[in-house]
Amino acid sequence: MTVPEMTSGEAFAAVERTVEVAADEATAFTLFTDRIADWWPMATHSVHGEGGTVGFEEGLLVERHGERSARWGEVRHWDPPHGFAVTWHPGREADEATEVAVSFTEEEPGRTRVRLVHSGWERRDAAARESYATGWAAVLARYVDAAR
Amino acid sequence: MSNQTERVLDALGDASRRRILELLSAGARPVGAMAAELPIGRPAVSKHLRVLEDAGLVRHESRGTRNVYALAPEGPSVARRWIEQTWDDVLGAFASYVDQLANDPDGQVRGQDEEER
Repeated sequence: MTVPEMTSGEAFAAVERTVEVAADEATAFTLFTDRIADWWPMATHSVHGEGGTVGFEEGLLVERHGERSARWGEVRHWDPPHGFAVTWHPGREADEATEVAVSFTEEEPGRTRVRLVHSGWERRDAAARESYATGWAAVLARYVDAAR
Repeated sequence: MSNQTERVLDALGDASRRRILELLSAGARPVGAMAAELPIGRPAVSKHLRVLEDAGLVRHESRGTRNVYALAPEGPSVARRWIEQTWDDVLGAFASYVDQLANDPDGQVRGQDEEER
């Protein structure tokens, strides 16, 4: 697979965010995964909005809201308490998935750094490449150049 | 995901719209010129341009009687900022939740099977 040249397309290079939490590594991992329904901001960051819940179910990350459900992604890597990775396509088909990887590192006893990397933007249109030579990250890379 | 991110990703999730962006990366042009270069009609091009404009990826200016479209330079970075903000919100919510448990001995993590709901 050809990965589009991203030197000028930093706009869609991987997004990285970190936060430190007051817990050991194993606790942080468990709270993030088993207890995701207790803290995920559903009202603002979900497919069906407030009142729903989200959880890991047999290798999938699934949102449920009454009768409705939405598959957010599939677990690709599971290595408690160090990290996990899921494909990421809330509200979209799996072939449009990007990928989210979360790692947990205990920096000192009782303090863990949680690092999230959202990548794979270039994979979004493997299917679309059939009809057009370029995926959208490649289009954006040229776009960023042209718009300068 | 935020509405803006959704709009950008939706806008990019269509081959015709990506083709339009490719055309515009070679320079600004009016709707008619784009329609002539694409296997879709002018009304379809206009419809796609509206989606792209709503997403902040293109903008137009009126020259005489016609609208000339161009790439909006800030388009991709706006999308990126929204994605970053999404994860800042999510990780912030997680950190607050962990802090709250740390400060509340009764709220300590229990095994899954003794979970209170």
